[in-house]
Amino acid sequence: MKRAELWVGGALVATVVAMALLSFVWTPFDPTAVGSGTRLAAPGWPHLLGTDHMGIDTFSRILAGARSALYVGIIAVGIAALVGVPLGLATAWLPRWASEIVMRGIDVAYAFPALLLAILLAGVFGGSTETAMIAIGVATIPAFIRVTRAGALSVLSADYVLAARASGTPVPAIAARHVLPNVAHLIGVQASVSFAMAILAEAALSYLGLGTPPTVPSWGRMLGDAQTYLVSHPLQAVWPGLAIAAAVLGFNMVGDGLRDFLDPKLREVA
Amino acid sequence: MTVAETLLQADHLTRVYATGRRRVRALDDVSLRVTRGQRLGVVGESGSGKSTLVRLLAGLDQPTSGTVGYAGRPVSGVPERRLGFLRSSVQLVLQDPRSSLNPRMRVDDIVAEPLRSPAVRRELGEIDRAVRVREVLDAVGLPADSMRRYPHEFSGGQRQRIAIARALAPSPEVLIADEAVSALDVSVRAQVLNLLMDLVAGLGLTLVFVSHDLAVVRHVCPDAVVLQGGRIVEAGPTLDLFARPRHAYTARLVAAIPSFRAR
Amino acid sequence: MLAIRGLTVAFGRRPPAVRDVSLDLDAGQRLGIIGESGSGKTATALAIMGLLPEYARVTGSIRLDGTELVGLSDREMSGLRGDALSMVFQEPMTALDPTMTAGRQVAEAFRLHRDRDVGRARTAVIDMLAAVGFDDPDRIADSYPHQLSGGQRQRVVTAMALVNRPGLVICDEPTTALDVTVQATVLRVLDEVLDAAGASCLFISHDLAVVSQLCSSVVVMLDGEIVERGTTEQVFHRPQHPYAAGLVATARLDLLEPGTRLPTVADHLRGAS
Repeated sequence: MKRAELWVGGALVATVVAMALLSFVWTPFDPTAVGSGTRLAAPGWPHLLGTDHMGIDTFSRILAGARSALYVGIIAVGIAALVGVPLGLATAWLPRWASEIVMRGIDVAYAFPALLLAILLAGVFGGSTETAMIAIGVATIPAFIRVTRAGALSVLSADYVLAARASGTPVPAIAARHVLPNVAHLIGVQASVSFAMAILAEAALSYLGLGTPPTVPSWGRMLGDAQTYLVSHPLQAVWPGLAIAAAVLGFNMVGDGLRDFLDPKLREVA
Repeated sequence: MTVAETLLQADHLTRVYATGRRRVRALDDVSLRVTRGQRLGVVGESGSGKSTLVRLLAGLDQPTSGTVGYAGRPVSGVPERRLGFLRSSVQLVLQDPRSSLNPRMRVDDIVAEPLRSPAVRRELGEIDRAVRVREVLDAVGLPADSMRRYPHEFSGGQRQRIAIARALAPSPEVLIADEAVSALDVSVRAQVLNLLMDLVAGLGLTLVFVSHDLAVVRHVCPDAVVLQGGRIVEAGPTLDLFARPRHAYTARLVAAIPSFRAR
Repeated sequence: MLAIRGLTVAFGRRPPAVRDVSLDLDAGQRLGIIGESGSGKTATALAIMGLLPEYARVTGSIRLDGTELVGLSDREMSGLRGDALSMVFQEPMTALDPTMTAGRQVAEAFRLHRDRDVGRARTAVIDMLAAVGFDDPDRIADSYPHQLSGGQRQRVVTAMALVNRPGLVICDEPTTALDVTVQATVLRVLDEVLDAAGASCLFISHDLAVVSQLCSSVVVMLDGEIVERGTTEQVFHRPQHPYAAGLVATARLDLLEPGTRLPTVADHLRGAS
């Protein structure tokens, strides 16, 4: 049944990726051309999901919005992993007192909400996709440090590391040969969960007008735009909401599924 | 040569671990020497300090006070980059064959690992790793087709053979076996012990055999020391320890060995 | 009092872990089950206790004092567990709840099956703790598991298993995780309390010497089947099956000249075929 979670989550993620890829080569209408149709048209033909307040085809915009979501997710998780994983590995080798200090610092950073950091950065540098990605990425670094460090510490206490040290295997080789391969699955789980958070944060920032600029299709901004017409045209808010929910749910399910799937405790009793 | 050459030497080793406010004296003024070709048993129960002693002898931890020496050269206090002589000469075989093999490495990579260490390469010169791996796998009785397989595909006894092959790869002089057969089934234990004794005899190795099992130590090691609470309470020929224990703890250990008593 | 007929246990699609095992145990009798990992000895014990995971398929018959245990619901089984039959597990660390005092854990079994009264339960607990060899049962009763040593924990687990004076106690490698000197104490205690309670015992172990100290008869399991059975005397001195002969030979280190080659089970199996 844990496998089912992995499958459903994987299917949702695959759908979002497929939408993003499709939008590069084809959308029913131009997702940025203002006035290509009637304003606030009801779902039907030719506008499957209707049009927004500027007359842009909603379905096309949802497809293209997947691009922004994934783009932000990939860059933000990339930043977090590229900085967090090496730091997490490094802190595993620190002497006890030094690692205590570093970890308390990380606890403080961890408690600082990603969204707040993003709003601060947007206030200083102006709202853009890039500031949003960097803010979300930076705010996610502590999570990666923690996961990597915890995994690394447990690997470092294994006898095969002791045997490697007894042969004079240098620390970088131990990190690359023993630690990284044995914590990779933990990092994978963290990455999918962080991906979901990044998508949600991007939507929130764009909704607030601090993320993706108005000209680029984004689910969060669509949600923000639809708010004005919520009473008269509620469906215009439902579509981007569904898209966000599906993507976030998908990545979270993949993360959860991976965690359980890779958990050795689920092995059968002999 | 009438006087046997001292290979491994520990003098007044003390190791104190400080965790928070608590200080634990894991090893307390332990001295011992191991001569070339000797098979020395180290007997101790949990908390005796035997694992700490193993780490110190292998140069994997620093003593709080006291010294470790190998073949007349100091080991304790020497930086890792100058311990090449020790890394190729002293190898470990550890207790749990599950935890002593990286589950994500193939057998040939596991066994070749010591040969890739810069310290060992400096000492031994360049050797053909693939050839050496085949040699040692053959020496421990594993088929050549084991090389590309992963540890989980093997039984406990076979995994311990892989660990022994890894220890033999850099042609060491000393093997330190830390509870090397304790996690194995009885029938497999005998096979691995036979293998270990054959290898030690055939290759002229020196063996430090750490175990809680007095009966096994009696069989494998002519000499033994008994560790209790971080101290050596008794040392001497193993058969004497059995027949005429001088320390009360040794006597208790001997008495506690479950004997066959058909009721 | 315990009669097992044709017990077979299978997990999923794999070949059965226990195959057609039949056993009889009289009141007060102690039977050793000797086997190595994968021999099916633990699966047999869990089948009797009704503690196998749901996906295990159990066929055959297990009768305890005439009651058929195979096919009982988990609810009916829990009525018997800790009362008519109980188990001492290998790991005293995981067998105890770290958040409860030792006394409360022993009392739970008593209050569940015997007497809800807290005061009378306390009396029974203190008596039981004294019976397993504690000089200061009151202090032990108020201690948490982490305040006790491995041997003390295993004696608390033994007290839990015996507080209701069950007819049958199953011990699964109860001393394997302990130091040798501690093992001696726990075995002596086990011997005494089993005698005092007049309980029958299935004693599962890989250690032949330990079994010989406690049990009057023995079965040897190999790959899910019983390959040898008899009195301890018979099995240890005149084993019939080559595997049993090999096990006995390989365990008798005390009969060998130090440094000589150890006999292995493989020698005996080879000699037989």
